[in-house]
Amino acid sequence: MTMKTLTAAAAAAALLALPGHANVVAQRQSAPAPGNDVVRVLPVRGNIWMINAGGSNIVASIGKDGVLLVDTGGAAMSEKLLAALQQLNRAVTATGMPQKSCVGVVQGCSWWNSSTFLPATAAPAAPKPIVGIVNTSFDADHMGGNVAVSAAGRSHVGIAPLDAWIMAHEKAPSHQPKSSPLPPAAGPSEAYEGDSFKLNFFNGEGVVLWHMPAAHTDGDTIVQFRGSEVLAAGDVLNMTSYPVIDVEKGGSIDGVVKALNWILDVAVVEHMMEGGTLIIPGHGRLTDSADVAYYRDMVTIMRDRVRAAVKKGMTLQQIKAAKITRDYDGRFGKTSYTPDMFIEAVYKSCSCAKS
Amino acid sequence: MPPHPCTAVFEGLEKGHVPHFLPGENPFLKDIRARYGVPAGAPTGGAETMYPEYEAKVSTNSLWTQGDRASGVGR
Ligand SMILES: [Zn+2]
Repeated sequence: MTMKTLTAAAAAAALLALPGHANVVAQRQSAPAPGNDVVRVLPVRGNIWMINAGGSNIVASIGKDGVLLVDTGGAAMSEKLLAALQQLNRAVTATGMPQKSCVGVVQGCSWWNSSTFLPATAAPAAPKPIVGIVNTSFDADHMGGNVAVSAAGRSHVGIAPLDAWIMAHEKAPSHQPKSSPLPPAAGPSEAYEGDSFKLNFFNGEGVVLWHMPAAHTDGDTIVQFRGSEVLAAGDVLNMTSYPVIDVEKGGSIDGVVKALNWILDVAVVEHMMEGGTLIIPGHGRLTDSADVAYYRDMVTIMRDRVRAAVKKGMTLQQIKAAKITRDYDGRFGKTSYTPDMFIEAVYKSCSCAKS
Repeated sequence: MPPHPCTAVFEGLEKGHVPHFLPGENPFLKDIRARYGVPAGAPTGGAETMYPEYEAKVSTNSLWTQGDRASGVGR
């Protein structure tokens, strides 16, 4: 589906596709896989929209305060992403969707609510700009669009208007290859340290960043939208493959397991049905607690198998040859991040007693 | 809406523990074979086991006569 026909209703009907995966191997390539160069939009809940661009998931909060993005996808998709965002922003703004919260002094909701009268009296309210970007990690498939998207946005950190700010955990950008360093405009203009950071009250809800130490990398962030009850998980959760563990960038299997358990701790189940807290993975379809629990189980079982194999004295080669992931390979082992790569990352990063 | 009807109980397991059997260590995989005296491979043999030709295969399989049924495990 192209974004040409997008209205709020059409957007609600638009479904995301199961994307292929741009991962550690493929993420340095600039072009997305063939057939994977489209942008798809899914309304999640409240202000939150899930946008799939070239296989990477981007999360957008759209409302009276502007647009806040979690990740920007790969660089090759920037133009299409911006076009889609502009259209979505306009559609959402024109329909005057009520905000979650109208308490407080934040503009008293007047601008937002009045927009329901606007179609009769004037042109729809102008959409607000992209004000900020949060990166869940500094992988090329999640921050590749930073330069273009930030330049298209506008924020007021000081007095003069600036490009949209870019925020990440302080450890996120610390592992860039020296051979191809990031352009300065792609790097975070703001960084937070420690376990968590209360970003702001944005579009009527609290937005909190949670650092997940040593998981997919050592600079992973999960973004929590506390009013819409949505988590943007980044690559610790990946519905298309085994979790990509970037050991060189400080990632570890134990950190991934911990992060998934953290999501389960925070998420609230909607009894006997799909729903409750919605969790947006770095790649692949939208999930809820049950999906995360299955994924957590799988990842934990794989870690335990590698641990047991190491305990038996098996070498990495022997563990790979034993095909210990075989029962899950049909579901998670079909991308360019192969089961062998996953096993190797688990082996190298697990707290296993290696002789 | 009533509160969530399920209660969490402590099962003596470490938080985040996922119960599972390591490869080759699941004792229950032999359960059906033992109970019904089915030769190895039949319960997990897939589509092939639905066809009459499979019977010939089974009858020449020594496990059918000397195997699990003979041992009487689980009966
Ligand atoms: Zn990714």
